[in-house]
Amino acid sequence: MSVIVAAPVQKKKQWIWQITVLSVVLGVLLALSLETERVQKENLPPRFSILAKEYRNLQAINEGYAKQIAKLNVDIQQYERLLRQSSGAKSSPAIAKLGQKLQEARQFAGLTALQGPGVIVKLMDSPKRKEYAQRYAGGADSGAQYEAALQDFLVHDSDVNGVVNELRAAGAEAISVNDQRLVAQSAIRCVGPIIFINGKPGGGSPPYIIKAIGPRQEMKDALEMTGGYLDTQHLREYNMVEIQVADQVTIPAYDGPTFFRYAKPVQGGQVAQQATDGRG
Amino acid sequence: MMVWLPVVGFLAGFIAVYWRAFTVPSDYAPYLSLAAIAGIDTILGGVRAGFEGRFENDVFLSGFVVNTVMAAALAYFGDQIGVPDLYLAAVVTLGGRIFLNLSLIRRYWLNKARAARRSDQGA
Repeated sequence: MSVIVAAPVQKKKQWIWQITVLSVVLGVLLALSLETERVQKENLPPRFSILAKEYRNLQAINEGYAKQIAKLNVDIQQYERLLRQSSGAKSSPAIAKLGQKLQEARQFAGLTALQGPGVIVKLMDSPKRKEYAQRYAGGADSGAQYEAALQDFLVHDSDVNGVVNELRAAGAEAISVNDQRLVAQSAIRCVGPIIFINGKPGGGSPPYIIKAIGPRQEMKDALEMTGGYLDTQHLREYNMVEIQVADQVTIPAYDGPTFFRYAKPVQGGQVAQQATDGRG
Repeated sequence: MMVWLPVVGFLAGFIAVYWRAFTVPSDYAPYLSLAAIAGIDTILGGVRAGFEGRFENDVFLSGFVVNTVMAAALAYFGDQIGVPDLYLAAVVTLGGRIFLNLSLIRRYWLNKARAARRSDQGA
């Protein structure tokens, strides 16, 4: 104390400098701390933000690929047109025949949009599902028993599969679910609350609109027949289905991948001789 | 003017590090934050002591080192023995002292300004 009184000015200078030096250290500490905290927030705690970022990245990559596919498809169409032009049907019947075969194969594979008479089936959750579930759960309007009962009045992937199978059996030639074309490799499957079709969430959530081109009346009758899927599953009873006959149904082309990764043609193997116009 | 030197020093240290993307492992981040709070407390304590004319450099320097290390060590110790809230003890103590020191510094400044005004009027 006495020293300070003796030389106060000098002393003041000294302490301010010392504090300044440690202030620098403090600045470093705080900066480090803030930066660490920031980086941490960016990377670690809310896992959802990482997943969301990942998801957006993959989505962007996917969109890029989709554009590439669309471009390549346009190229293919152009080449085919060139092929047809450079060798008209008269000059080269062989190539014309090949072109026709190609068109038929594509149609069979589901690579062309199609239209024709058919049916439109709408599958939805029962409008009175809560009421029914409550009744079947013994009056409870929540809890495990109610939830279990409720499941019976919701549309599931099995219902979509059942209807599609029934339509195919009745002679449907092209089927789409919520505008996703069904092809030979298509799967219809629940992933959480939505239905994936062709590996894409395009199926969406209910209602499901199933469109089919084929013999209209036969398809409708097949769906409504006693012992058929809709009957055994009581879908009509609970107003979960609407069937509509239409003169003109348009079904989009399949837009997924068409390459095979595992299966290879057998060398010298059998090639089916298919009937092309239904008359043999 | 001299009083602004610590502020300048603080900014210098801050700027030198902040945009360099240096970080410490995330496990140690809470301890570092606590050490920084202890640093703020010691600096303010030093400024206050300086204003009051009882600044002693050995007390100040040892205070800075021991407070920062101890605050971090206390939090670490708490985590180890399963009392992770132990760091709150350091936060409460240091926080209280930061406010106390700030209020004393503020009072000192206001008094000085008032005294200066009075002497102006007197002249």
